Amino acid sequence: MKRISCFLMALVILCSLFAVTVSADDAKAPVEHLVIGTTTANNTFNLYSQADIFGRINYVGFCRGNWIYEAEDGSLQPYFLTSFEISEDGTTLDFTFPTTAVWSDGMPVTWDDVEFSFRFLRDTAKNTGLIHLTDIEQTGEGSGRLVFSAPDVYAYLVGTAMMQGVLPKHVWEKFEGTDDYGSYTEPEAAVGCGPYKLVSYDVDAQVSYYEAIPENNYHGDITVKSVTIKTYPDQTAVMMALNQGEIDCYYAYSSPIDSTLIDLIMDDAIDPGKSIYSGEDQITFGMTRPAGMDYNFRLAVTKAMDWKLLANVTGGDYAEIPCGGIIPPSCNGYLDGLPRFAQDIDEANRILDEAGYADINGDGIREFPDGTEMNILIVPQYSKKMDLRNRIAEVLINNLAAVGIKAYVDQSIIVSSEVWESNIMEGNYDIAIGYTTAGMARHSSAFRYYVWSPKPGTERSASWLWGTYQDEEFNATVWRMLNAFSSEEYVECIQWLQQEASDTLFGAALSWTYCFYPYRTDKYGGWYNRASWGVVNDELWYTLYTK
Amino acid sequence: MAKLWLKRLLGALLTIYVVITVSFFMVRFMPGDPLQHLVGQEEYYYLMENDPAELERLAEKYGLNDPVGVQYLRYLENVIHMDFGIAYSNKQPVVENVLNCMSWTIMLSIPTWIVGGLLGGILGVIAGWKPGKLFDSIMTPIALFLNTVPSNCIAILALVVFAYNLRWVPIGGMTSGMTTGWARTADILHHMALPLSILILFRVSGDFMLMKSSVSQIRREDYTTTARAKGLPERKVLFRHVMKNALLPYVTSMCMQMGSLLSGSMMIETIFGWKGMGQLFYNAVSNRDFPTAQLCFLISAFCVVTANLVSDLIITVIDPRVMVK
Repeated sequence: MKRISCFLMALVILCSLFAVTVSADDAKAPVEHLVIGTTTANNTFNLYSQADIFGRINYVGFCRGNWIYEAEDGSLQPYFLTSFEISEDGTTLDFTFPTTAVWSDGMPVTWDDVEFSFRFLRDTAKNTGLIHLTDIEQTGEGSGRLVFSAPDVYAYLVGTAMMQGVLPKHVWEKFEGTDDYGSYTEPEAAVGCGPYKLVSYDVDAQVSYYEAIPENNYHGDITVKSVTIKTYPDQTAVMMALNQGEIDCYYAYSSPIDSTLIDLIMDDAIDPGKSIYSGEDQITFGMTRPAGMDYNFRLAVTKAMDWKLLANVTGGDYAEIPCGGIIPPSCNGYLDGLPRFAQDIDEANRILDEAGYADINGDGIREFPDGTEMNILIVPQYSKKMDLRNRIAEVLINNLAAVGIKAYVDQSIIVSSEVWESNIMEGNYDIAIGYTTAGMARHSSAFRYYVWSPKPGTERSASWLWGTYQDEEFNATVWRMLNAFSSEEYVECIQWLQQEASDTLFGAALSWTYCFYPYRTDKYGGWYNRASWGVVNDELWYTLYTK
Repeated sequence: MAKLWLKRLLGALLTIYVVITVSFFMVRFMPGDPLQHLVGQEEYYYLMENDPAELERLAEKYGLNDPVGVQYLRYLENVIHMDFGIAYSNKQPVVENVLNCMSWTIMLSIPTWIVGGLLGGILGVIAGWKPGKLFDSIMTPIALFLNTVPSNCIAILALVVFAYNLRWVPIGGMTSGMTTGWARTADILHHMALPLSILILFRVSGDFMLMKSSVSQIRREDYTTTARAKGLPERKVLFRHVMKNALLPYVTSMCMQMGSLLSGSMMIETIFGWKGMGQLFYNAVSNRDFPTAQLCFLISAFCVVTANLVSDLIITVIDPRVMVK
């Protein structure tokens, strides 16, 4: 009896183990072939270059072993650098790297490559984040140290290190001291030590094909065995391909699918990949001109603005009215609890009346408190999205007219980027309409567009400075944020800036929009839709599995 | 006669020179800093703040800091040597980019020109010879419809119906890639089926209307009535008297179409993701890729001027009275 019981128990345990193994295998079966659709060209395959889809997808550690990557919460995570530590004074970076990594041409990745890469990036590519890098030391078989003459380590890591990686010395050393590396097109230009290698491409077909390099498993085992990237003529074609199951997901750096195309989704197996965008359209008040100088005027303008319409203009049905701190909740260091804007025409009129902006001559238009004519100059940013900016300007002009303020757009200012920029640099605007991209929002944030003082130690003419808010503490905090040497310092600065924006209204976001990076959910699981980036991010290659 | 042709040839060369000059100055006076388009807006402002020397170096490298006069002379010299420099967009030689795109454009434009020209002409003659009959009643409204509706509308509709809903043809592009030999040829034919069909459809409708109009007008001329009165059979009247005269405007039109063989169809190429000259030109202008835009302008102008010359030559052969006039 005892024997039978033991036998039965052993059988049950074995069966359970088998069942668990089988179910685990079922759940985590690797992906044989992932097809990514994009609208970015498939022409250039250069590990250093940021051009085309090869350059852009390497932002998410694809064929390039990026030094580190950034998690959604803004924390820096190991990638090629398996561990890293910043010294307390922010001048030294100790790191380790894998000794098992290989280049896509089969050569091993060595310390020589690591040392060469930092030297190349500093001396040849003139990377600004590394200008204070003085020493590159090997401290062990798989470890090294970077020594800076200034506390730049954190700024370098958050600024560019996550979009840079180790370069193969045997390919790139011939370009040391030259400037031809960016246009190098020989097949070896694509040699990298990311989790994937370029196997073939067809420029006519706008298709490239990649296979995994199992040794380069920086974030765990690689679960996607091969990848095809196919370029489509436009986003409509991408949506059609997604509906047909021709592609599994969409990727394009800082170019989410237009919200007007999301309704083209015809298949329940497609997730629109909705997330809040970290960039935004914004206004800046000209704080050196009579109107913008006055807090009451700025407050009245924000009360007069039709926020619902502005949100609709910028993001259709997929936008929300922003709060006072400018940057959206998806940004690192977002300060919750600031008041949300709302239109209140009566309140706007009351504020203007009390501040002395009266209609003295009875023409229905308010004058300045000193009786002089008030005509507000609105300057939309010169860019590829001029149509949208002009439309926003039109809405603002109508909103201001509703409270008796005359406003206009000077077409001669927006005729070219040079004319527009010189006006902005001179502060020649009452209200400027601008834009922060998702990339800029990441660690520079919208506040860089409001700064007036140049970077400490530099001449004002040497920098592009579009802001007019001359408050010393504000300017110092922006530069402290841009050169922060720890994430705590960055968060502290950016939260102060949000509070300041909400309190003083030197500017405001026009809306917080949602963005879309759609993907199919019928074949694969393990997608992680990172805000503003979509599902094709640094973690995709290690988390996706076949259902 | 030789003096006249020499005069025309000189006129053509002068036209090309003017186009070269205009294209040079036009692209430089377009709004926008070329450097911004060269490196991208975001990178441009990043470099402005962090590394203005790099921007300066790029401007120097592409000769954008030189006086316009210097840039113009250098440009003329380069044109003579067929050196159009490096494209801003992909850092490849412009000539290489253009030749590649040209080969894809020709794949669409030459069949369109030949098939469209022949079919449009033949159908036009049939409709014009017997106006108001069944064939004319069916064909004319169709051709009028196609001439009225923009080609991009029809192209998008066709894309949705044939590529998206019916899945007869691919959604876009020129080939699926990773194929060689006959498989690749078949794949390219599969991809070009829809854009080519649409281009032919529009070309046939245009040529049909032109030929029909010419034939129906000439069949009422006095000399046609005289030919009939002489007792000539209808076929001879058509071929000897009507067709010969109707061909003059048709040949002129065909020659003018020949001038656009290398320019490509911007709309169709963009909609179907066909990387031809039309799309190259469109991208070059919208991204301020000066070297590419200039070569595209030049090729376009050269083709039109050459087509004009060829047209004059052929018309002289068909109707020597033109030269006398």
